[in-house]
Amino acid sequence: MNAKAGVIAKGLVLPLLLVAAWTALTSRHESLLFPSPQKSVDAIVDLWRSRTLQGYLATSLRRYVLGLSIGTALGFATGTLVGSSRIAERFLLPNVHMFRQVPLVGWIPLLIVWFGLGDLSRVVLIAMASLFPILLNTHAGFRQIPRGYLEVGEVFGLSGWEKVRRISLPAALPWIRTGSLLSLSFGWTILVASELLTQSNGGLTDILDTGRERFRMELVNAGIVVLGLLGFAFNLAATKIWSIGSLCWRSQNIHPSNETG
Amino acid sequence: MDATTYSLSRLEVSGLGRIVDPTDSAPVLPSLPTSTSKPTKVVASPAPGPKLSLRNLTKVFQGGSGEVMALQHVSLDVRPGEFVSLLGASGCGKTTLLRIIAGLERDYLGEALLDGKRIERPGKDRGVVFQDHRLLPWLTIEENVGFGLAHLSRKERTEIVQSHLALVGLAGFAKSRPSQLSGGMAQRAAIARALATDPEILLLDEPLGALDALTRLYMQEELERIWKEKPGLTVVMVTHDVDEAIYLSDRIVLLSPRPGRIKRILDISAARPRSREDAEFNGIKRVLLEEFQLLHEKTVEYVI
Repeated sequence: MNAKAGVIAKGLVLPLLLVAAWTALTSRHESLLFPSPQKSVDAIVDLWRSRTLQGYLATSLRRYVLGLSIGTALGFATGTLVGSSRIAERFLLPNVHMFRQVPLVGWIPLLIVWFGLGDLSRVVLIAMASLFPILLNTHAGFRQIPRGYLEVGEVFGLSGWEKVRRISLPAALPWIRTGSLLSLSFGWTILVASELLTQSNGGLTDILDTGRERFRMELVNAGIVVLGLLGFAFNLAATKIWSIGSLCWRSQNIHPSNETG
Repeated sequence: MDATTYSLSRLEVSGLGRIVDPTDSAPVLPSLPTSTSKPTKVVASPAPGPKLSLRNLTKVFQGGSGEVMALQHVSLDVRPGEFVSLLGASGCGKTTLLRIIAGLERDYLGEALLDGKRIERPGKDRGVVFQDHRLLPWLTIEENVGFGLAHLSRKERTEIVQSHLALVGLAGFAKSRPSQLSGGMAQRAAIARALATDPEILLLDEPLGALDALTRLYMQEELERIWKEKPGLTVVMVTHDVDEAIYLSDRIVLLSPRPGRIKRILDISAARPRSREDAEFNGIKRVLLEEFQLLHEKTVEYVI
């Protein structure tokens, strides 16, 4: 427990130094471009009191959760399919790799024409962002399963579905975990990009937009910190969920022959 | 394919002696719900029908550079309760033979019969232990041992798992993970997993091949003890270790490579436990090594 606290404390040293230095510098002479951290904190508190922040948060979270769920579910399903069927792999995987090469924001004009400037475009974009990391990692996870494990399933007479459930899925789980965490953070990045498409969209980036328009840099800074903290929190929560019980065994010592001794 | 009987007359149990065994107090195995009327261990004749019968087994692999004949006309009967070793150098098809018996290789010529029925797929009447233990790393040891018992109630499963962990001397490691176990312990857990479903035949594919020399000697004694505590259990073991085969087997089947064929079958009817230093043990060893042509003097030409 102490060791863990030590790790957290060490990680906090640099941000605290930055805030301290910033505070010290801005207390001498404050410029419009670099307002003091205290002003940003006040701005966030104001937004919270006026319930504006809660509104922004709800709107952004709705888009994020919807897009992420669709993209992750689709990516996991497709990854499982191309991971467990050679035929599906030959038909689908080259196309997946081709689509992946188009930078995501390159789809934006097309999406706007098809789905308009509303939430539908945003959700589709976030879904596309979170699709690929989990898809490719799930595929890789299924492909690395040692043949020997599958033979254990055969020896005990497992049916096809039982083999997937009791051998393949647990064996691929560390890769699926990695993929889901990557999807989570990439989806968050693309949420912000999708919100910046339009102003006054009701999401968290409105803090940034409002700040920029009215030249209130403390609002812009506050918005950035909020986005960063939320992304960090999501990642932490997902990591915690994955570490419940033996949901995800450690991927060290994957191959039994490495363990002789 | 001539059968020779070597009887080691009255062996004194000496030599190595018994390494202190924490599990010598034999655990009492509960009567397993799946057990059918199993034949009791037959020490001598009259022999009933063979447990396992291989007739003219031939296996050809399609390789990149054409066909490779792994087995050619292999015929062998294994009696119920017998401990048979398949001994040979690498490439002699002994693992292929075991995989056919296990039901993992389905595409073969000839017949492999278990209790008179053709082997076409793996089944719970056969337990398999591989050279690499193949414990599933995401399960605890008790979950691994109970892997083949998913159809039973939790209570029945726990009971069988506990008794088998005790049988292999791992009673205190139920909650451990495979990565926390040494090679020898992991292999014990693999043996417990194979035995938990109460198979009639235990198939061992070089089960001690990956262990260090001392652990291997100890595990040979453990294997013999476990086999004795499971009355009626037939064992077919693949090995390339001559001493191991002599120490454990009722019969040794010598295979010669390319293509894999039975070269000779030796009956070992010495009293157990056997001494590895005994003159007659070494006599058998000499016969086996001669079969492998390892004792012939090599002609060396010197050019000065």
